[in-house]
Amino acid sequence: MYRRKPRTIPEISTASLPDIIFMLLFFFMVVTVLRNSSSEIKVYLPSVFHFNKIDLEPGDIYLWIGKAGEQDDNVLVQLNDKVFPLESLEAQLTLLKQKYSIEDLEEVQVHLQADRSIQMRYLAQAKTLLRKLDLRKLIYHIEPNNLES
Amino acid sequence: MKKRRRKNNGVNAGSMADIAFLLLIFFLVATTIAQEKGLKVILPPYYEGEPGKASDRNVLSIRINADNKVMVEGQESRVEDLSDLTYNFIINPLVLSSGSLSPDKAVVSLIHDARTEYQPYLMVYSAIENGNDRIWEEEAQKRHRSSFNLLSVADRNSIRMKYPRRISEADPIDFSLIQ
Repeated sequence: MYRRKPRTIPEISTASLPDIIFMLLFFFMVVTVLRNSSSEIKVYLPSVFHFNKIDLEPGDIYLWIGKAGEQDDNVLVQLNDKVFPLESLEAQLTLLKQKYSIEDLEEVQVHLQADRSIQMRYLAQAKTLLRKLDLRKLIYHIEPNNLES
Repeated sequence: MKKRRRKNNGVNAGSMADIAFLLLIFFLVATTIAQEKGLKVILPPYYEGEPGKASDRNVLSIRINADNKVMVEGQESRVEDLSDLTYNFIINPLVLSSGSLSPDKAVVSLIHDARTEYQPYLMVYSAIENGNDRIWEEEAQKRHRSSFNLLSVADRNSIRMKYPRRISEADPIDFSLIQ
C-alpha cells in the first residue's frame, strides 16, 4: 500500500474577477445618464392612463413648477438647478439657451415636472414662453408608479 | 561582485477588483434604473395674430372648466370616454354629421380655464393622444401588419399625412375675470 499524499484544496482563482467587474462597470457607464440636477421643489406629479416611455438625453433641460409651500399658493420654478419665481423664467431660459449651438437646440427636450394641483394658467405661461424661445420638444413627466400602462 | 538575479514579480492585480468595484458602485448609484414615464408633446411654433379658422364641422371642441369638469361639444362627458370620442370623431366610421368630414381635416380643440388644475388637464390630454395613437396603430396594422413604432420613417410619415392628429390649444380663459 502506498501512502496517501496530503491533498491541498486548490484555491479558487480570482484572477478573472476584475474582468467581470469591469464588464459590469462598462455596462453601467454606457447606460448611465448623469443627473445634473435634482429637484429642490416638492412636486407631486400627475398620473394618467396613457403615456410613453421617455428618454433622458445629456443636453436636456429640466423644469420644475410647483407650489412654494403647503399653504403657499405662490408658484416656484426650478430650471436645472436654479430656483426662482415664475416671472424670471423668461430671462433665465434665454440665458440658458445661449449655451446651446443652433443644431443642438433642435434636439433639446424640456422635461416638465409640474405639481398635479397647479393651476393651468402658470403652465400656459410657461408653454407660451417655450414656444417663443423655440424650445418645442416638451415632455410632461408623470408619476412613475402610475395607475396602469 | 555577483549580481543577485531578481525574480520578476509581475504587477499585483489584486486591488484592481477593488477599484473597479468602487467605480461600479458609483455608477450603480448614479444610474436611474426606474424608467421615467411621461407624455411627449411637440408644441406648435409661436406666432402672433389671429389663429386660422377651421370649419366648425371638423372641430371637436373639448373644454375643461375651473371645477375640472369636462365638456365635449357642449355636453358634459367623462374623461374615460374621451379616447373613444376622439377616435370616432376623426375616423367617423358611420359618417355621422357629428363627426369630421375627413380625418386629415379633423382638429381637436382643447380649451381650459385659467384655474383648471394640471392633473385633470393631463388626463384629458393623454386621452386625446390615446385616441390618436389607436388610429395610427390600426392604420399601421391594416397597411403593414406591424406595430406603428416598428415602421420605417417613410411609412410612418405616410400615415401621419393621412391622420395628422391636430390638437389645437387656445390660451386659457379666466372666466372669473369676465364675470
